[in-house]
Amino acid sequence: MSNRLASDVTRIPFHYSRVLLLRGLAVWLLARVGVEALYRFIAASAGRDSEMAAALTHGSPVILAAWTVVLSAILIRFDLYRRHEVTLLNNLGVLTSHVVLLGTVPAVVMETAVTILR
Amino acid sequence: MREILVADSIGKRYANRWVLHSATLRATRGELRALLGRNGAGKSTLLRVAAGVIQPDAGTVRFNGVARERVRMPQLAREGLCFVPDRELLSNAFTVRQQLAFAGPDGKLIASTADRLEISSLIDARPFELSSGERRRAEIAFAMVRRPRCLLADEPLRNISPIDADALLEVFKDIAHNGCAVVLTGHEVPALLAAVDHVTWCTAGTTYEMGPPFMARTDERFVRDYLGSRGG
Repeated sequence: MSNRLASDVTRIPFHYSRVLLLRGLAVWLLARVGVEALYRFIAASAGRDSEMAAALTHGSPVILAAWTVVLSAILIRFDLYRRHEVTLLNNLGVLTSHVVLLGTVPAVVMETAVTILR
Repeated sequence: MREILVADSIGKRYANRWVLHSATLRATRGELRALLGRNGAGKSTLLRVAAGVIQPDAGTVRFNGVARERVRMPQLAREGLCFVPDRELLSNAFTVRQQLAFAGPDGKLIASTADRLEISSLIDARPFELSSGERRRAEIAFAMVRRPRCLLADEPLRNISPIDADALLEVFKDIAHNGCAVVLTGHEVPALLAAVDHVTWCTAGTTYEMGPPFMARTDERFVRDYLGSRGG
């Protein structure tokens, strides 16, 4: 066995990236539904829908989108640990934060699209 | 420089309990080393600190001659370290072949490694479809395909039958004799002492260099406090 390191060990493997992006999309959907439901629940509980909603988002849907992206990143990180993939990726020289960033790309893209379409 | 990894005077505490104090682990090129100790002695913690999985509260980790107070596993992995934890290394979301390809794209090396570890017929299965012993062999295959300069394996022989453990130790010997520094932990004392070049004893949160196995076997305290009746 050669003592030379296997090549391309520092980037996220292509096949893994593809699967991660698909997972990121599912996680975004979950996060979006969760944030939206929480937002509506709090607004309804307050009894003053528009005022409370405005207060929560400071009048901007961008804040809601940002919360969705943050929640997506947290869920992606949790999912990596749940699947025992952190040590696997770290062994390839890949930082966990880079994997979380890549997994959050679908959330950023979708939230940007939703915000523009609104 | 033969020592590729030195986790020097490591202290580690969980809450208020120090599980390691002034423990040292060395990994030397071309050498197969066993880190032995009773359950709870701190072996796994020391290995995880050395691999950069967790941060030490005292001491430094030197890898490739560079000393660091804070080490991160991805950084060490880029420089040639591979760590096989005592729990699952491989993901259930991908086949063994796909994950070996993550470690290195050389198809011939993947095939020959799978052959050597007798997992060729299982290579297109996902890890959850394998027995714990088969899974362990697949994890070692991942490490081999990665072609590390330093391999730290936490209890690689766990759940492996004696005959398969002997075969696996031969694999570790070959990896070491090809220039890699290999450190193993485990409780398979006779097999490990028969295979390794050097023994480090981890006890009560610190370590002692016992030297070659024949010297460890003659150390009165090691025999009394670790080997017990197996030392005779």
